[in-house]
Amino acid sequence: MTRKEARFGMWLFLSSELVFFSGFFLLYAVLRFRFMEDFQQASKHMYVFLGFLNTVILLTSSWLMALALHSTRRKKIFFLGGTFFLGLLFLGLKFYEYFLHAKEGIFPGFSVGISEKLNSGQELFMNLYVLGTGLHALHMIFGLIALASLLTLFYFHRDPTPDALERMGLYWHFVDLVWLFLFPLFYLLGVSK
Amino acid sequence: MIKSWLLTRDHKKIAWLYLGTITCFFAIGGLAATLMRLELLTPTEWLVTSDTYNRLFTLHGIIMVWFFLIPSIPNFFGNYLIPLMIGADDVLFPRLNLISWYVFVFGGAVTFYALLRGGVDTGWTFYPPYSTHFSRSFVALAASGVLISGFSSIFTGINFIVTIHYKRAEGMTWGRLPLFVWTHYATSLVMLLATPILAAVLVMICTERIFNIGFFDTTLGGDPILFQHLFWFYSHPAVYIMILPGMGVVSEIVATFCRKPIFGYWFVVWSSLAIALVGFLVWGHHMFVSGQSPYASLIFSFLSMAVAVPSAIKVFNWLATLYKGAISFEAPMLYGLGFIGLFTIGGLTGVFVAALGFDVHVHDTYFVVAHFHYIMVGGAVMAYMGALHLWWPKMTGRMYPENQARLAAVVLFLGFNVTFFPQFILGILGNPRRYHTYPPEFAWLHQISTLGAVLLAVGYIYPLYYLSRSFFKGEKAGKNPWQAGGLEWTTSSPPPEKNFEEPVEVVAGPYALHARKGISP
Repeated sequence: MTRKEARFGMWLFLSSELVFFSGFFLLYAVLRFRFMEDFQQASKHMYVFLGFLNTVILLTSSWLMALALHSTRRKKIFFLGGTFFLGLLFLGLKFYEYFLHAKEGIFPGFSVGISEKLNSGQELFMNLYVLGTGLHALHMIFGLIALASLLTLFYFHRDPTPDALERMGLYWHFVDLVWLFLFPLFYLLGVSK
Repeated sequence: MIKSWLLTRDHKKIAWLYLGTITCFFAIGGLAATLMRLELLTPTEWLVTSDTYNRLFTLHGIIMVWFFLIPSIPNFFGNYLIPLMIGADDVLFPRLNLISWYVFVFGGAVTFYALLRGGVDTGWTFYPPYSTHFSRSFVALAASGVLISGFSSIFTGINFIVTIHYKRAEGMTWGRLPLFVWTHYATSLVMLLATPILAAVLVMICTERIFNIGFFDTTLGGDPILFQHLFWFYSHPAVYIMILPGMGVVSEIVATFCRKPIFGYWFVVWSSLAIALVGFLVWGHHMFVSGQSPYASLIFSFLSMAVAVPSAIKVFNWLATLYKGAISFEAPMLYGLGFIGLFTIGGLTGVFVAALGFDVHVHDTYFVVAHFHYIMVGGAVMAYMGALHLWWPKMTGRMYPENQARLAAVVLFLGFNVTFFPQFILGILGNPRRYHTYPPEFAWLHQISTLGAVLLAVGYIYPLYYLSRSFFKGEKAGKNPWQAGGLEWTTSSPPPEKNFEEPVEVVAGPYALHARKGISP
């Protein structure tokens, strides 16, 4: 197994991931078309600043990931560690947002009496929000597990190959890209001029 | 010994693991079918209640589709044969290959547990709102099991594509690939790009059912039809995951027992890829009566008929290969010819139901049941049995008893037709599917069908007996008992751990006996 073969396998996997998320985006498109107004109203419940902060954090983590590819061993560990830390920070903020929504009583599935606070279109928006960002967070968690195992390999001086780092990077950037679509579709929708 | 099997990375051993697993699942699914056919002996309820009957056909569907048909040929024969056919020592990701078996077994275990706990009563299609709000059965658990087994499909798809790209032996150009490999390439593309949609939609069903985070919930304004779109966007291409490998098998069988290369090689190759592509665009024909736009139905109807074209091209190419071939009728050939005939009937009735008007008449009747069983049992399972006999000597090193096998093939063919042909008539007469009772005037047709199912069962159990017997007692098969072309026949039976003792160099096309350099027929 050499570099290009494993990389090809990774790209195939990502193509499959792309189809997976496209199922979600299709759902979003159909429901938003049906509930244009409600979606905009519901979007005002998003914490835009936290979302923006998370976007910056994730983009920075991707930058560090890219830097880690071509650098010395020490720097690799530093950059990967940074990526890991920022990923963790992202998840922390994300769950803090979920917590805030739950406190507001509009976290679907768990908040009782949500339908008194939101109309049905807005509730669908919240459902989509939880599904979309939840699936994204799940992918982040898998990414963090992979990063942690790469770091463990460095710790035991069984350094992963540059190819392994590259595949890690491909995955990380992909998950990052998904967020770049989720952010405007949920957070920026309700921002007025 | 056990450890060497459970931790093996040898594609041949992993294939055997798959064979054991899917045979168990086939037996479970078959048992459910047997109980259903027994219940249908009489117009009134006598063996199972309507609720049990619902659970039985759901169990039959889920097990047969996801735990037998989809993994059957690709994961057993594909795993075993693709590296051999392209002259490689293994697949490219052997560890991923083993992982995909474990994932498959885990998914199967989860589903099986759900079925043991009392099963699912939604039908294998999990349509909401029934599956989300009204069903009182283990929907989420069974759906999770299917979801998990989907990963196994995706991993296998990735593995095959990368292997076919990068593991071909010296001189094994794309134009020299056996058609079995080409159809698996097309199948892998479908596995890779359709399965994730199933995963997505099952996740949505689970969130709606477990956490009440719904998308198909009509009280919120969600759309159950959307589920059907997403579901069939996977499940129609899944039909091609089941049938394309079978087409590959039949191409090999026909070439072997006509002693001729397949007529129109590139036409067969491109028709496989065309089926994989167009197969993605026809899902709406499952939804003609769902209330979708009539214009959408019109286009789906046209595309569904269009997908019959590449399928027909294959059938004509097999027939053209038979023409003036030196045909001999060994058991695999009987299965292969059975496939061609039954697949043609299944395909043509597929064109019937693709027609908008006719579909309204037969929708959700036994006509549809008969149609897809002609494709899946008459097509895919026939091909599976054919493949089992064709490559049995290669995989075990032993010959099976030829006359018994021929008898079994004939019994299977007859049993299948007696079981399912009456169902075409039942459907035309208007007997709806999925009910455990029916008007008394349909009784004689149902009784013929049940009689056929007994024959069919014999046709499955008999090979199980003589094949396992021949595994220990059959006479030794040489390297190439059929005098077939193809690299797998140039190594010993069963092949050594690394498949080929000498490095492989290919100098001729796929069905030439002198294809491998240094090996004379």
